[in-house]
Amino acid sequence: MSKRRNPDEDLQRLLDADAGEFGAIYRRLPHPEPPRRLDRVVLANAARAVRGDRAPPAQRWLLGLGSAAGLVLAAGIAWQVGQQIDAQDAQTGAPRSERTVIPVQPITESARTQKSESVEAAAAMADQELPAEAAPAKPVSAPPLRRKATPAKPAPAAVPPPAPAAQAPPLLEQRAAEPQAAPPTAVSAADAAQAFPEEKDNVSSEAASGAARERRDHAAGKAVGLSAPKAAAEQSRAPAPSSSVKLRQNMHLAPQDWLAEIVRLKNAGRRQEAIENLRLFRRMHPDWQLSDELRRLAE
Amino acid sequence: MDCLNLAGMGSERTDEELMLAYAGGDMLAFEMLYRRHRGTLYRFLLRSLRQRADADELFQETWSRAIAARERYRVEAKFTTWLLQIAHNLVIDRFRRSRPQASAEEAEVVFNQLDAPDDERPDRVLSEFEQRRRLQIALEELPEEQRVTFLLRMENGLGLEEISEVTGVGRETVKSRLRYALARVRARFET
Repeated sequence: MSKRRNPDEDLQRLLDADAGEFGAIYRRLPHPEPPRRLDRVVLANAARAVRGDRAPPAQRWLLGLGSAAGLVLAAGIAWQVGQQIDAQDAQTGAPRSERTVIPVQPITESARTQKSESVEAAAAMADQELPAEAAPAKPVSAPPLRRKATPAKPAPAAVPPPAPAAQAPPLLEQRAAEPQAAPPTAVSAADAAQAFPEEKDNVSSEAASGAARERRDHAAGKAVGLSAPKAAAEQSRAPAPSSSVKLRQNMHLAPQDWLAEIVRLKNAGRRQEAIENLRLFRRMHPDWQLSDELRRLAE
Repeated sequence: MDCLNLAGMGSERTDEELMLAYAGGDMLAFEMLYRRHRGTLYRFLLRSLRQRADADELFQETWSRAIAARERYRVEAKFTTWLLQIAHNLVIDRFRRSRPQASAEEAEVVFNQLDAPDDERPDRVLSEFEQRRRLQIALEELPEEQRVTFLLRMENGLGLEEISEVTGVGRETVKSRLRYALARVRARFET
């Protein structure tokens, strides 16, 4: 007897929980598994995808931090380079276009008050006898100063009290009016007389003009044919000629040390510098007994 | 593999919960999910495509697409159905590129062979080894759509509705494909 099959019955048995007779056979088939290589690839992809989601905030944070660090580094480098350029300028004395204008200040308030009496006396004398030299007492705009350079401040004697405004112009005008008529020696004397206002105006060139000032002093002495005492008096009336850093440093020395430095300068052949120091020393210490050697140098 | 040794961990969580956890960045959830479905998915692909290289390729591609679409996954869809949909689409694309579908006339021939006498049923006399071999051959010889439908039932245990959802065809079409597939398999056992 043959038994015909009913497809719907077979289907129903297939859809049973155990999937019928073929389900049993199917479950006994081999169960191939994916190779480990695929497992690694899939899990790596999944992990990478998750990390990719989380990464951007961390990367943004790192980016911000890196940018800030870069800015700080760049600012530091720029500052260092600026320092080096300033130092080079200070050494070479090269002008800088962006220099700022800084009013001239006295060296120090303490030093100024200590010697105020002698300075004022000297200035008053200078006003009486050489008003033109003290006339340009306007606090000058100052010369181009380097930001980091040692402050080149004028010597105390070079900062006289304001001169009467009415006195200065006539002399200046007079000098300006007759430069051609004056003999060459007189021209040199006039130039020498005008040198101090220029020095006040241009503090930065003080060091460079020190030697020129010496020459002018010499020229002035020779031109007018001053006798030695008169020349000495002229020198004593003159404001402190040097405002060099060295001279200002010496002002802060003890009197004995300062005198020893003056002797050293003289012995080293730097006679004019020694004279400038000695002149300033006598103003600051008028009662100090000088040795014969220094007295001769002063005279 | 470490994730495969996490036996029991996360078993209290459903596939859907694990998938949502992974979408939120929980890599351990994905490892559990992968451990649950790697075998059935691989066998479905291997028996559908019959080529290990193809199965490997589409297995990796299926998971890659699931990973890429994790943020679009919604709990309304059962995870198994969602994953098998991805795999099924890839399989169909591969079929279309490789060879034409089997003709419908072949199915009629198979049904005619079903009128065999009951005492001639080969499963009564075939050894267990022979039964497994014939089933494998029958699966390989099935037309692709029938084979995929049959495998979704046998390997993945899906019902008519779920198969319909995965394959994108109507319920009756699923039933028809299953009937034809069953007839062909039986024919292989009775020859």
